[in-house]
Amino acid sequence: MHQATVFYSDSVAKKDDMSTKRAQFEALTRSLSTDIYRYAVWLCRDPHLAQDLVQETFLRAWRAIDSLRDEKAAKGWLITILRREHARLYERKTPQFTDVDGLDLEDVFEHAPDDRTEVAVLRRAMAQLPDKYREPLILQVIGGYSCEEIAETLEISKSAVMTQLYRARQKLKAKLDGDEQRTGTVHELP
Amino acid sequence: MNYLEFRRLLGADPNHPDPELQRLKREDPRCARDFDRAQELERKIERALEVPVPEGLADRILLAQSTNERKHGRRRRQRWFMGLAASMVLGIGMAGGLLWSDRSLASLERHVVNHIRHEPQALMRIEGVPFERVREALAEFGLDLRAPIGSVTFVKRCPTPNGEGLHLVVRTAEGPVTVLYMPDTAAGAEGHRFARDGLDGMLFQAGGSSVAVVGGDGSGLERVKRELEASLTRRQS
Repeated sequence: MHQATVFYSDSVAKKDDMSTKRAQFEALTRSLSTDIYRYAVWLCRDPHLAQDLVQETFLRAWRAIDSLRDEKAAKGWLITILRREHARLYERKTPQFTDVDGLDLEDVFEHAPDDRTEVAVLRRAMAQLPDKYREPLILQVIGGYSCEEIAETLEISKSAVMTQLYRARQKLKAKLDGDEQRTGTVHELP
Repeated sequence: MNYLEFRRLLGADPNHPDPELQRLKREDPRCARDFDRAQELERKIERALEVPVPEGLADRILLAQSTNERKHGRRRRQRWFMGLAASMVLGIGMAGGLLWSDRSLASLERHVVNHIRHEPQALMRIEGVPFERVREALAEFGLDLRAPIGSVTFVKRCPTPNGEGLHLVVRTAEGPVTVLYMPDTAAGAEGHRFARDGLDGMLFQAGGSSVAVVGGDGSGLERVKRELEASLTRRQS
């Protein structure tokens, strides 16, 4: 290594450091924003609120980017930030989106009300799942969390997590099977 | 692991790497069948969870971050006050919510001026409202004042174009200055000055809301606006 390259002025070193951080943040954003958004949508069941939450999450992530040591842990780290932001909403005001019966899937996921495809049936069922079933499921499927990690995040036992996950899948399967029986047809995925 | 335990584990975690689960799947036809069905259901669930993502989401996140970064030298309060304007701008295209245009601004001006005209008694109070009371009223909107902004003589919740906001009057040497906080309205990234019906005013953005500062004389307005910029902030939880 040339001697000259060893000596950086403070400002050059800082600029390099900032460029690296920005590159890291950009890579993180491009690879994970889709999953984080989808997690947010299923957490709050409101795509507009989800976008706000995601925006706020990534801004906070940027400010704390130095604390992310292991890139493999990035998704879980972002989900932790998002869950905290989501919880803050409940501290400030009574949410207006807890009326699940009033939840219009057409608005939320752009499915027509009479859409009977499996995707639409499952999305409707998922949106109607109570928090205690839906939350572990999205941590597992979107977040890639193990049952132990879900237990730690939700502060419940591992056996409780496994029971809720089992029941969540049972309920979703029942909705799919029930729809099949009602309509007499099987709507296969393309 | 018996068959029941196998089914329960499969239902809770179809991709569990448990070697016992894998062994039963290989050796027991019932388990193999159940495993295939569980995998099929899992694919459907994964597919259902993959809802459409707004176009350009990553780009907007990155733009908001760099906008935030550029204003890094300013005080944190001021960044919140005006610095979210970029994400507000993007939010307009995205959600189609808070559209602003010359017509919208004119409409907001009219609302502000009419509101002041319909509540003349607000301008006549002399006695100051305790600072804590002002902070309490702001707290209902998730806001806070780090320091008093002069003598506030009137505080009241009031109807605003998109819901409810707050109406304050600050007594200055030049006369009363009205401050209106209007949630879910847009004044635009650069703010806006106006003169209407004998009143001088300024509209500017604060997060997803706008603030109007209006009085009968320009000099009092600037001071109140500066004090608001210095003190008004989002309440930290």
